[in-house]
Amino acid sequence: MKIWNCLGVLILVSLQLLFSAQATEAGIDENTMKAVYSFSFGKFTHWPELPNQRADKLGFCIFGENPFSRTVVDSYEGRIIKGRKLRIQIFDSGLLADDALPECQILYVSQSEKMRIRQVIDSLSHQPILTVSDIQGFSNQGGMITLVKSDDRITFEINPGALTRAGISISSKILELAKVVHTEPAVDD
Amino acid sequence: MSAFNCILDNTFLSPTGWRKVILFLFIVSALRANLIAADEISQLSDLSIEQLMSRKVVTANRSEQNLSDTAAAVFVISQEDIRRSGVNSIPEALRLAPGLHVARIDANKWAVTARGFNGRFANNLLVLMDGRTLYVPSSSGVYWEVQDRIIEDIERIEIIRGPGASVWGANAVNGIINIITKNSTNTEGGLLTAVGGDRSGAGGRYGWQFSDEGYARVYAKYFRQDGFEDQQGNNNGDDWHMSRGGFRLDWTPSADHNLMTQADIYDGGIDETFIAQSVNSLAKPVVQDNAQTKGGNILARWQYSQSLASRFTTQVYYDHFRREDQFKNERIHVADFDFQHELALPHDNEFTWGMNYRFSSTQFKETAFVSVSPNNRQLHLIGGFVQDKIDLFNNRLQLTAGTKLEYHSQSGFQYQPSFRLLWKLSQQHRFWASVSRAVRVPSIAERHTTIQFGRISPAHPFAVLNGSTNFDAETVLSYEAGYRFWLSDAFYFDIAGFYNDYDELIFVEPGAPTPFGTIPITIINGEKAKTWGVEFTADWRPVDWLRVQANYSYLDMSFKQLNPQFFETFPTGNRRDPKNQASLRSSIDLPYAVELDIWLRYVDSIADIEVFPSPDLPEVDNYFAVDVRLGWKPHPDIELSVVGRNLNDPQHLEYLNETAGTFAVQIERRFYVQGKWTF
Repeated sequence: MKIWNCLGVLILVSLQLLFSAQATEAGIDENTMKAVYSFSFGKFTHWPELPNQRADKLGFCIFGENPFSRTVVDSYEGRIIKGRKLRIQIFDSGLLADDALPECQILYVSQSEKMRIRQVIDSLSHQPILTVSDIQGFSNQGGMITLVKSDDRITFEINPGALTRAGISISSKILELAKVVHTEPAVDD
Repeated sequence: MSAFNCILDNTFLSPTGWRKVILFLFIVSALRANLIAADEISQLSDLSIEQLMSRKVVTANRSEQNLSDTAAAVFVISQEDIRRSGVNSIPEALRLAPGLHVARIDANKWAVTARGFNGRFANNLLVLMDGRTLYVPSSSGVYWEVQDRIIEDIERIEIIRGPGASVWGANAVNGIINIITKNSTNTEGGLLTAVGGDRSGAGGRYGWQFSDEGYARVYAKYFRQDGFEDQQGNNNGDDWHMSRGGFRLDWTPSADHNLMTQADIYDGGIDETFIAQSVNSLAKPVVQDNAQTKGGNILARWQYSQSLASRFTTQVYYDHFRREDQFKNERIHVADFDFQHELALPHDNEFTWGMNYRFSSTQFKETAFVSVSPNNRQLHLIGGFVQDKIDLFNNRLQLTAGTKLEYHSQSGFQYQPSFRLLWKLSQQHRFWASVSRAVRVPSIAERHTTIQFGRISPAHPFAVLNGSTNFDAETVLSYEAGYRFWLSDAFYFDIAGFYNDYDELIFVEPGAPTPFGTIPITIINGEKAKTWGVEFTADWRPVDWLRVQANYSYLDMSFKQLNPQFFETFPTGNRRDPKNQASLRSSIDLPYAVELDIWLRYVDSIADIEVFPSPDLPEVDNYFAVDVRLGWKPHPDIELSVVGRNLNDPQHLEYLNETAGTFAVQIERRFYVQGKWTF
């Protein structure tokens, strides 16, 4: 019996070490990767300086149901990006007050708001907010950056016109890597 | 270190030693998993965009609701939880939640509640499916046997323990269950399911995109369930079969309008056996009854997003239910209108207000046992609520205050306020506390039924239970507090405690016997109760292939009769709950797409359960159950599974039906196989 107890402990411990070490090898969770992209864009974006904004804070707002894990949110919260402290806010009810907009420099539009993107884009069109989403066709409808999954990898589309209209500039390095798209006129409605 | 100690000096071998090992592993794993996950993100965030573009990703397979910022005892059963548990009905799925007491009464009936006062017609729990209330106004409570869907089309089941009346209104006294089906945007394609075993049946769903802006799905399902046995080993004759079908449509004609419509119809036979007390004779034949039930509902919900900061929701539905058996014969029509306006206001306020109106009409036909006078009852309910959620001190503190005001045509005005406070101590710790008031309004039965019990002579019953129009709403004042803590996605812990102060509870008052010896019994507001308890859940994912979930709940109830001269042998029907419940579930992913799920459940005895007038029924002892599911996905679109339930035990009793004359039915060891094909 004693031997078995010892063996049991050993097996548990080794299994645990083995599997936790291997956990990341299979590939990165799609949504985690999308989060990493979205936060990284913050490093390459230049926002116009506005009087009512705090230069020491970088607001990352999630609009709609939060697709990101607790690990992602907890490890990015408070991180310093280009000298600004990240502050994550989640608007999971899909409601955003006007006076909360200056607290968002990056706005991630969740899949839950898929059917509303036209409204989201129209409401934010002249705000200096970098809009990012993984909703298909987001940039074609005037969103700034769309994350696209193709062949087990995440790539992205950028709508430079949308950025210009909002007074935001993004590093040319990023533009070169992106598929450039333009706003398509709305169909009927 | 512990492992080496173990080898070196054998000190780690006592039972306490094992406990230490488990605890040690547990803490180390949680921390390690946390560190690894955070580390991984740290590494990723240092990569250049080019490097990110070259990294492989795997499909995101779990998206969890962010409930950590809710100032209430809330728990979510996800579709994945349901799938891995192997259950194939909604009430069985509810066993996954902490603090809910789910007891199977027989093959086709369940008693489900939170925080006490359970029963076949547990009436303190408000249950909704996609915004439609499943709570019936006639007998109050939920007919679980007619609530079903293609189980894979359920998105999640949200469970709030404690009052939710300030928004949801009356009868959300001890909790709310919100069954949410998938948006048809997410159910494109076909699905075929089949089950064989003590339950056999099949179901199918097909979803498609009907225009650029709209999606729809249709489904149909049939099953039949074998009956169980009573204590003497006789077949209880509680077979059950059900057919149902329906559709859901989600349409977004423009970015600011969204319309959801759904409908269901069902038809089934629900068998049961009971000892009847014949009218006009002393004979007590055993009746094999066959309840015919059918119903249907149609619901439409229109959402208009006026801007990013304002949204209107208007919902209407109609629901019809009928059930005919030898004991009860009822037909219910419910029409409901609901309007809600949500507003994000300046200074971090989220303001919501709404109005609702419900009309219900119930037609009873007199049976040999039950009569309702008058036979047709119409109820009107008018309600309104306001609620404001405000973030204070830089989002550190969140205050939610609101109240519902309702007018019930049967029981008058009711106010139901609540105050809730959430404190974000740090990124990973939350404390919350609340005070709220809720009411349970009387059912039609409690006010207008006459039920005869037993016979003292061919012409005269032993007792007659009379509903009373003086019976008013039951009230509760509830104090709650809770704490949540998590370490990334590896570990989540949630504990909640409550103290509930009930007043005006239902009680039965015996009157002076008639000259023939019949005892009249009247329903009154004759009891107070104080209950308290704690519930916790811990969710631990040490590695990718293993998830362990532990739940525990404790409930203590004490009662005080307002007029202690009543003799105590009469049941109040209020004492029907286990003190302790625990569950431990582990989901293991094995190689070759094999999944193993082991679920251990413990439910305390229900020593006080009282059924009138059958004092000779057995006590419901505590039980321990082991459920195992073995699943295999030979192909991403095909899933096969074998499920064994109550494996450790040939049979046990979980509950006694409070309806007079029914038998104590054993819940048996059962096996079934399930197959699922998506295309």
